[in-house]
Amino acid sequence: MIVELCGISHAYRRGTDRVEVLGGVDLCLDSGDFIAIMGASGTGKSTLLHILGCLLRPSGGSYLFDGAQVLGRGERELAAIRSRRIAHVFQMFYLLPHLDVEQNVALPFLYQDGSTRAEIRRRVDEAIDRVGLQQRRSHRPAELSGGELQRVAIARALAPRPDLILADEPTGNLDERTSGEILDLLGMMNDDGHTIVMVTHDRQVASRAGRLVTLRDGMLHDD
Amino acid sequence: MTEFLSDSVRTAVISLAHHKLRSLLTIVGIVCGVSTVLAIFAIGAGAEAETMRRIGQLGLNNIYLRADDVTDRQRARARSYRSRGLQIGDLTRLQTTGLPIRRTAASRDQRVELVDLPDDLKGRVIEATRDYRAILGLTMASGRFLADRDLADRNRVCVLGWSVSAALGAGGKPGALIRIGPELWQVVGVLDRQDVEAAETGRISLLDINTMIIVPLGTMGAVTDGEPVSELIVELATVERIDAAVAVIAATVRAAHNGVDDFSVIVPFELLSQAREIQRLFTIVFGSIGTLSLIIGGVGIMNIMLAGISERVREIGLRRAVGARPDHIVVQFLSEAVLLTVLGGLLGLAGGWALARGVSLYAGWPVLFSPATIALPLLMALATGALFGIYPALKAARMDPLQALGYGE
Repeated sequence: MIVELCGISHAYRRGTDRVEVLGGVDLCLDSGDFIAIMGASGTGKSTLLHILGCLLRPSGGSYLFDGAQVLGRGERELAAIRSRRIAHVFQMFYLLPHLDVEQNVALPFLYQDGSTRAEIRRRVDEAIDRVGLQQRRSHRPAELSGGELQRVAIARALAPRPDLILADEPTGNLDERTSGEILDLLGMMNDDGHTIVMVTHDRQVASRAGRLVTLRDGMLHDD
Repeated sequence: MTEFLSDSVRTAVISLAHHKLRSLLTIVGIVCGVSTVLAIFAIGAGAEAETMRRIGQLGLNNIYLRADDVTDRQRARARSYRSRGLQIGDLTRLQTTGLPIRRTAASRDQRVELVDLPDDLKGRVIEATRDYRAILGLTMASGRFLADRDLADRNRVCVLGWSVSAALGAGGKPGALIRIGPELWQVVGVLDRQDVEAAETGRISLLDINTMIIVPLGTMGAVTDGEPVSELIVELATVERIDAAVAVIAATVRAAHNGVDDFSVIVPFELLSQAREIQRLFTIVFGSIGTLSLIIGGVGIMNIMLAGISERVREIGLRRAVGARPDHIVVQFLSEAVLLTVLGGLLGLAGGWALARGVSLYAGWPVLFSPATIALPLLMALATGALFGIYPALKAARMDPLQALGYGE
């Protein structure tokens, strides 16, 4: 089991009010799962994803990642997990405009030790090939279409060979045809054995995942 | 790690190149600061070296007693007190004080017509004693210096400065005869060329040894003993307690002159301390101006870094999301600040070099560039960059990655 969330709760303050977003979420993921989390906006889908991605510390509960407790670890260790084991794909892509495709894909390797230059190069090349952007290697983000931008972001997520890929509305900014291509790509990655958690409000999109859960009233419900 | 550092530098270069005018304006303060500091250091070091050279030529262990130009009234007064001015006898008296005196010398300026010399060479005749050479650290190019027997026998011999000898050609070599005033004198030696020109800086006056003709003391003018000399030089064995020695020497000679102050005491060692003190003040004042300029430059850099960070919030968030630690972010933004200041520092070095050269050309001051005068302003600029870059860098590193990515909770 790669992820084991148990009784995860999260609340934040809005002025003097305490707003509870998650109220005891349980979720288990096996290696190779492809799960879609659905829910109306404001239900805490992104919050849950950020907790999974070690970008946010929940108010309570337990999070075992690959059998080890994540909560209570220091920022350095969380950063190490983010750089090696968990990858994000965002709705807004978030590519660095001054770097070309290769450099954007290689970005996570800047923050981890242990890989040789040749190995990084090989992994970056593989990832770019996998998303079909061989011809675009040295292009800047400004020269790419929306679909291509998301492919670069997916390649950046793939390259470090993470245990978990988190996609937050990956098709939210794309037209229907391009969305289909991106979802095909996520499907292929899942076929390759990657574990994927995708957040979406679109049932059509969510139906591409192997498992569908809905976040309602701070709890997860299997559909 | 090297990949990360080269990315940091590359990102810094790209971001600076993206805002060329902004970057340029930002470093103006640094350029001015480094220029000023470098110029000050170079001018200060040049002045120091020049002073050292001049004072060094006087000899740090030496104490000079110079006859004052006295007014008629003072002369009358001196006569009434029966002072005969500076005398060789004063030196003999000093030997009895028990001071650690190594050597002494006396000299007397003479105004004599030198018909053999070309018009453009202002030769000067000086009567001197045997140790005049050693006490001033002069060396012989050929022949010998004045000897005891020349003084005792009042031999008509002379030692030529390098320029005088050169101007006379074959007639200026040992063995030749030259005309000094109405008589012929035999050349017995030629001094080595001295690199110091005659100069007058404050109380330090240097004679151009190269244009001198040195003859035995007492061979010119009045033959009678008791004619005052122009200068007495006392070389001490040590500069330790030189103040006390100077006091003793002044008091002894004044007593010999029946209390008349008809001479000045010049102590190169003291002059050196004074010169150093002035130099130090000069460096402090202008160094402060430079430092102030650097601080202003630093504030400019901080300002622009803060602006850059708020423009690049998304980038910071993304880097954190893909695994950058806060210290990675610090290094990234700090390297940008440091790169800016290094750029400013290098431009400042060029500016400072030009400034120092300009001052040197205009005012005729010597300037001296050494590794230290170049490295120090550059290091100061680097320190400024680091100092004023650290706050924005820390601010960037402390950002919450999610907020930076635009997710308000």
